[in-house]
Amino acid sequence: MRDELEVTEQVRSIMAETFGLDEDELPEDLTQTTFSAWTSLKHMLLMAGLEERFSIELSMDEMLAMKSQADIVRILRSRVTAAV
Amino acid sequence: MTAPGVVQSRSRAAYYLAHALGDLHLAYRLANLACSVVPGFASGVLRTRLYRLAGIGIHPTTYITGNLELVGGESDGFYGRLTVGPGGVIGNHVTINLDAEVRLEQNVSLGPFVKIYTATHPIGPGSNRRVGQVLAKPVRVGRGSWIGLGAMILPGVTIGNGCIVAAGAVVTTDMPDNSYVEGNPAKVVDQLPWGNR
Repeated sequence: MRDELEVTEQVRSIMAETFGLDEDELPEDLTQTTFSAWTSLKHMLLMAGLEERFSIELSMDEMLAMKSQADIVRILRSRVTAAV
Repeated sequence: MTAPGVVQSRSRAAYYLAHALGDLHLAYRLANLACSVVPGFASGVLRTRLYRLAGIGIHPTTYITGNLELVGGESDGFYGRLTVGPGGVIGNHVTINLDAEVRLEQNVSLGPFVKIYTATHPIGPGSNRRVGQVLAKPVRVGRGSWIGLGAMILPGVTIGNGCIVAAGAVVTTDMPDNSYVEGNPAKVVDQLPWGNR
């Protein structure tokens, strides 16, 4: 299984790019409901960024389940492991 | 013997009466009336069927959550000017003007209170800026596009495939495929991903 820390770092880097912020400005426990910049439009751009970086195609169910940084890391780790 | 002038005036009256009756678009109004007396939860599919019976080109898989307000347009060809492709969703209180053709392609969603107009007028001198003559310009909304709550689409506009038009936007010019547009006048704010899937 891919290293959790490595995946988390990559996810936060894509999030910072998508939300137009520095990584330091992103809260640690980032969730869609508590972070106002995470709009539905940004969510879609974030999903597209994740797909490109990890070279995967997310299903609609996975995209809807990605409601926090922790969710994203969990789902990506399972996908990347499955692909290997 | 009737004077020729009277005959002419009668036939003219008949002509205007026939036009007036045609312009009432009775079949469409009957469809709306029938939709109004059935419960909301049952009427999404029923509306589509009734509008189809009235002769309007709505695909059977379209879901319409409120009565359509179809405006204007002479009786000739009125019903043929609206085309709604498969998988469409049309929200409540949507107004569509049918002086020219309006084409909604596959999987187009119109949010509540969306207004699509095809009729405009030439601009005249200061004494009469709105010249009476109607200029009818068709509108097309491309495959998969989503038009947000209360957006307005003005005559002659083509919205590409896969676009999102934000709530309240006023779209005055053509929009390229996969664009996210907002504002008045609407501008492209972002290019959207997944254009090909």
